[in-house]
Amino acid sequence: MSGNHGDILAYVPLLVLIGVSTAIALAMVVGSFLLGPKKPTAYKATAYECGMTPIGSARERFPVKFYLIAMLFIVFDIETIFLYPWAVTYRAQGYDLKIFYFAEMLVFVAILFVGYFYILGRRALDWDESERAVARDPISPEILAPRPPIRFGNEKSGPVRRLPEPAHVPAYGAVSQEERIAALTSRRE
Amino acid sequence: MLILFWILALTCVGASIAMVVTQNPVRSALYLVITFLCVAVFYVMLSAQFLAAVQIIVYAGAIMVLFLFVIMLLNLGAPQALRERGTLQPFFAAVLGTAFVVMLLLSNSLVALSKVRPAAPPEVYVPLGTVEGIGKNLFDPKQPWILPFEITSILLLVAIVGAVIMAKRRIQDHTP
Repeated sequence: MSGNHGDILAYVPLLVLIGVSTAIALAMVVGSFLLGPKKPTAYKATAYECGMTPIGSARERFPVKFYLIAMLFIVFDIETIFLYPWAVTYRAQGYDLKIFYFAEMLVFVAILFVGYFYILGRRALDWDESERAVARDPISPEILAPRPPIRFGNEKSGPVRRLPEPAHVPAYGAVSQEERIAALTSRRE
Repeated sequence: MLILFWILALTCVGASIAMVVTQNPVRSALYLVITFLCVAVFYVMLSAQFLAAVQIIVYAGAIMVLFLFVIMLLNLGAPQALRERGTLQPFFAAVLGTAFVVMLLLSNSLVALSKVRPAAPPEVYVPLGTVEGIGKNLFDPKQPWILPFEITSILLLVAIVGAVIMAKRRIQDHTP
């Protein structure tokens, strides 16, 4: 172990970096916990702004799709592992050896590219299969047809009148906000 | 150096025990990350720097993601439901663990008693474990590692195809 003492000492800056970053992260969390005033009210405890009130547990089962992507990620991660020593040694080589090294890595990456195109061809990375679902069992045209407007207890007020589109609404930022609102609301008789 | 080793060794063992004891599976996984990191530093101390980097990138990174996905996939639910009852597993674990520790102690004392001495460290320090050392050996045309290296990519290709076929079997049935 004495032979590589100098080697280990080269990692001291890294250790210091890890120590300092851990200390800063801890100081921020602990500091805000200790120094921050805590006066909880019922209103503060509600969800912030457009946040939703939670429905049920957050521990839901996870779609298996994630697992496939994680597995493929590992494969390409291991490919990257091989690139590190290659990249470090490539520059130190002479011209002939550089070509050899390059060809070596080219073959390696080319073989893995076959796998990549296989993944793309099989659509293994497609998140949403709804496109295929539509092709498989077409949705009936009635579902896709425009529906009557939904009424919320105002059925007695007569049929829904669709407001005519305004002739011209200036673009956002082109005029003052008041003018724009006036243009948008001008269609209301 | 020795102090660093003992600090890390205790952290490593402590994190491993915490990983087994913790009832929350996600916390267990995070303790496993600590263990992985400690092992990575051990690799550096044994001057296997490349292995340390791989340990962090592949194990603490990618494999850990798989573990977390399995945990979320299974949705283990309340920790109380996880308690095993009436199995022989703790008994066998205790027996095997004790046997392992006894074997370690015995092997240490046997080596000390025997006349065989461990090989002396080489006079010139050869940095085989660094990223550069690995690269020099792996890609050198004078070394016999070129073919294994290229075959590795075929192995990875097989892994890709296998994963896709296993996971996308349902889609394959429906494609005309």
